[in-house]
Amino acid sequence: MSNPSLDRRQRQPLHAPLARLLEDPVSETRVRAIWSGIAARRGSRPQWRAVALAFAAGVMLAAAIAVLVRSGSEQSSPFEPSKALTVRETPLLVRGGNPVVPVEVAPSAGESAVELTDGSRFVVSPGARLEPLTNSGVAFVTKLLRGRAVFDVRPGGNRLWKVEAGPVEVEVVGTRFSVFHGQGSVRVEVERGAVLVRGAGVPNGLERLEAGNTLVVELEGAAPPASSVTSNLREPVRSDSRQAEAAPAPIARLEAPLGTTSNSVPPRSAQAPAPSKDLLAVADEARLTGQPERAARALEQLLAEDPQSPRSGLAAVTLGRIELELGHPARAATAFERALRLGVPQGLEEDLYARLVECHARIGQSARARHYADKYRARFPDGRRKHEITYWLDR
Amino acid sequence: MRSLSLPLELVPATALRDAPVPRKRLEARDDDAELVRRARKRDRWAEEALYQRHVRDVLRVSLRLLARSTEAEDVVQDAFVIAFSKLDTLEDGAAFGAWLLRIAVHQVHRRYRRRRLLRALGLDRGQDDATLAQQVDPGAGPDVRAALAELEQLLSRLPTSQRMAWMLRCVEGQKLDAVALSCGCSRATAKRLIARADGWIQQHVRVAPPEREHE
Repeated sequence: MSNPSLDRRQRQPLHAPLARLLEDPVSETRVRAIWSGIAARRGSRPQWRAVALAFAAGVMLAAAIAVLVRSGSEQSSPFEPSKALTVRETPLLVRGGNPVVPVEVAPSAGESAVELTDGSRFVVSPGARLEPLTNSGVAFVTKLLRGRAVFDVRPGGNRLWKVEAGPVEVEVVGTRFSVFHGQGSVRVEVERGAVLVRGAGVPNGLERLEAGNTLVVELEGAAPPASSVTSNLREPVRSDSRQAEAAPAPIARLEAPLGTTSNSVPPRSAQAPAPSKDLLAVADEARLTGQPERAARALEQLLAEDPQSPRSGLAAVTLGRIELELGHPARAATAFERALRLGVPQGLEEDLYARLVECHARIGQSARARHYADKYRARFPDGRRKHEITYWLDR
Repeated sequence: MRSLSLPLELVPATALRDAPVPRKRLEARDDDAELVRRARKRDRWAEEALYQRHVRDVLRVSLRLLARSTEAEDVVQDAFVIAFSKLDTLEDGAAFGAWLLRIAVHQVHRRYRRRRLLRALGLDRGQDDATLAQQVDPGAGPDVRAALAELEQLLSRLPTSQRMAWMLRCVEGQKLDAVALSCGCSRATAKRLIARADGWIQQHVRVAPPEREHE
């Protein structure tokens, strides 16, 4: 028979703070649900000022409708719906009148460009799949299941444009930007205008990116989006090149405007010499298609050929992540240290230090691990990965 | 690539859609103060940014203190609704996080009182679904699980003020000043509450104290 008090004495003491022994109970779903609740509660408590404003707005709206109805009745038959009201309900169409349907481009095919009736356009890169989720007069929401797509949204429109890539949402009004949904990460790059990026993994949950900014969001524990993703949209998903070539109606119609665009590019050959930008694309494509070793080679080549490139820091970070995923913590540590020397976006520094601690802890270099842990704690005293740091040091 | 510091610039949703964006760059150090200033003007984006920035801490603390996920979520909602409606009373916008946590802890206190009353009336039907033992890391050993389960039992027998102060200090790892601020008491009182709770707990479970703070 065991003595409980003796058992207690024999136990190792728990070390405060005990939070390090616990799972993080906060999930993104919960965070969003609570925010919805807060918004609803705040909206349901109108104060006298808000009531007065609402009353004034109601009077103005009634007057506007009266004017609209009157002008409508003067110009058209009373049995025809008012054009002013129906225009707002019209969904976006592909130029030429076809509906917007899922776009999937085989890895061996060229880019697929889609021009919309409001002047906006998007270009889907090889290996990518994009699906429209909502298409109405007030919102156009698409989901990038995998790969890269460039969006050129006409500014000044009334529609809310949103691109979802895994847990990351990119909200935009008028801009040009690209989203890459790769294996384990989502990269948002803004060329013109500004976008708001939100979701799990985004620093502070919400970031505004301006022209020239790039944000890489790592998808923790995410599996690569499978090519067999089922779709509840109009067309079945096609994932290989033969199927894509044979794709009938909607996908083929979407590819039709390709010839009308000037920036359609042929498929890239992996053997062809490529500048740094292309090498990054090659690496992304390789990761996307499940070839991390090839991606690592492309990134190493980029770092060797163009170490001064502004993208070198990011390339080194990506290389480190790949090496870590491949189970090469020593190589990963070298890449991460190189990224530190080259400089990385502020949003990535916390992750970088945390990974350096992990790498060095894994290869048994506890002094180095402690060194980076100290740096992490000095720079991010309330960092989100402090418990992880402690875990690796304890290990 | 231009600036890689990813400056956080937030604008109202309406402005995004209809009007030129008001330009105001936010620096990391004064984010909260600036966001609070904008939230006072009913800038929804600023409110959401404040929410996104602090919700995790508030939710984590509420969950650990209450051990009930539904009640913790209610507390977080209450705390943010109260905070946003009383932003004008906050003197230092940069202290938003600590102020919010204090509101949340106060709400937790109210929940405890309500729970006690319901229990006395036999009406408390809530289930503890987020106890320390239930939140333990899957990699933790059986010893740790057993100790945490026992600790949970011990904590439930402590007065609310002692329990909350001890948990903020020893579970969440807050500093004494932060515990005092969250509990709405002086540093000396916070220290006393923690010491009393610790004296009781250490008789049953060995918990190594957090690092001592330098005065």
